[in-house]
Amino acid sequence: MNPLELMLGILTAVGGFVDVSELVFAAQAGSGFGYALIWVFAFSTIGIMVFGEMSGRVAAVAQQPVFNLMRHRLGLGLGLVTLIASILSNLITCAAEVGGAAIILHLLTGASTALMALAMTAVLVGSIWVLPFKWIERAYGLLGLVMIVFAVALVKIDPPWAAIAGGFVPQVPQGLSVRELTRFAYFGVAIVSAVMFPYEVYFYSSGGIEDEWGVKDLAVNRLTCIVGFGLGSLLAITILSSSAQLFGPLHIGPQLPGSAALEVELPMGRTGLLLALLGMLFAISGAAIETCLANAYGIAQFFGWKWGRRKKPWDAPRFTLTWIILFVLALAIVLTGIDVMRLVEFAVLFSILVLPLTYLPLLLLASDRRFMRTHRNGWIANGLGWGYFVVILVAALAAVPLFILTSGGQA
Amino acid sequence: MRLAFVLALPLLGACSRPGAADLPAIAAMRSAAAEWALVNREAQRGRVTPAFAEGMRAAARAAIASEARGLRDSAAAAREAAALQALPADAAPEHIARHAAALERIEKAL
Repeated sequence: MNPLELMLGILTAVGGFVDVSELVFAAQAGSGFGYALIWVFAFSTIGIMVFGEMSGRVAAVAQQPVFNLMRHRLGLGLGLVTLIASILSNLITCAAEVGGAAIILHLLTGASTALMALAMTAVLVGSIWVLPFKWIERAYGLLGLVMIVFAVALVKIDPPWAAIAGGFVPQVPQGLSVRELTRFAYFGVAIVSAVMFPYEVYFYSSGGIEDEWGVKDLAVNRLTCIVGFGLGSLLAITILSSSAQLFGPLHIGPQLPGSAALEVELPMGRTGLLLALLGMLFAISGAAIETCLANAYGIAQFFGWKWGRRKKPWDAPRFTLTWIILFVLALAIVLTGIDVMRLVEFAVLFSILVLPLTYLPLLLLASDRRFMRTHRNGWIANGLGWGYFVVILVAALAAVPLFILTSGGQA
Repeated sequence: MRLAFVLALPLLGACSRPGAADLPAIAAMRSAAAEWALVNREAQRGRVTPAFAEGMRAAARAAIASEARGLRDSAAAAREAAALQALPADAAPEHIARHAAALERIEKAL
């Protein structure tokens, strides 16, 4: 195990953890319910650690991407349903990320959001085309570490640390009306979805193949998932905590990606504002690349095409064309003028519906002796996996009614 | 027990009070107005960039205008929305906050 590689992998996972949905929902959850939803972030983070580790292990041991194995394990019919649902979910998520990045650029430069969306898409396509896979992942992940400014800002406002620590204990706040409890439940489901987005496991496991992982890399995989995702989640929790401290008393339910930057501006002034915006821009841009590539990986792997950024773009032409088309489609969705925050809500809603379809095959594959031999799930991984599967199934069933009843968390 | 109650909320929530249809719009307008007031306060202090202030103000005003179009029953909320829309983008934060507080009162009464 190369310590430098390990450290870079973990830092990349930290910087790449937060995306536009987590930014928005963390800020809104903190403002609306104080620290009471921190435990949902912590709970969901353990879930993505479990399934992330599983997907990396499947890639390292079976030497095959998850979607390829999925088709063989589930058969063409159910595999195709999973593929189509994932494509839709990832495409909406990618559009939300592109739109979010465009808004941040608009707030930085004053140029129109549509123009910034065009420019952003060109930069993202150029990055994927030019950079080798490892550096696509690392460049945005490491630049996303600027988001640590949110943790610095939280320390500066000196919140009630004991109350924040108390937020890690599972709880439903006392004294809420039925309406407020419905919103609380909606935000709980949305946070589970935002933290456990399906694209994360597709991208992570395909990245393992791109990086030519083998059995020797299983420890790196485990550490990256546990430490990287854990620290990344703490960043999201700092956003929630600052929002509880700063926005809650002002009755602001932050509704724009730019609102979160005010959490840093209030204690740190203009420099803090600019750093927060830059950190958010890099983190969201990285997520846009991950969602787009995750989609292209899934399609190429399902149909057995040549795929991967370790190949030159013209050596895997259908894969290359797919990710370019997906970026163009995401841009087209943004250019329709749809409210980016609505896109974020739809992305989270669609993702929670897709989560069971994503994680069930993964769970079956990771437990399968034929593929995984001695590295199949042990009782801890299986227990956690099935436990989380039941939770996401319940969350998926409750998501649409809660979305309708709360008008997307508004009331 | 409380968890079971939360899980049963989609059914319980189906029974809503008259006028409650405007709640999401009023809540969104109240929040956008409060955010707009905060941005203007920080802009007055020179702590945000002009591009950021203009972008956030425009977004808040667009949100208020969009939500106001969706109001059905609440004339009081519509009056507050109209008053907010009549304010200049760089209005004094106290003026904006006053309307945000009025919207909050309407919201709580529903």
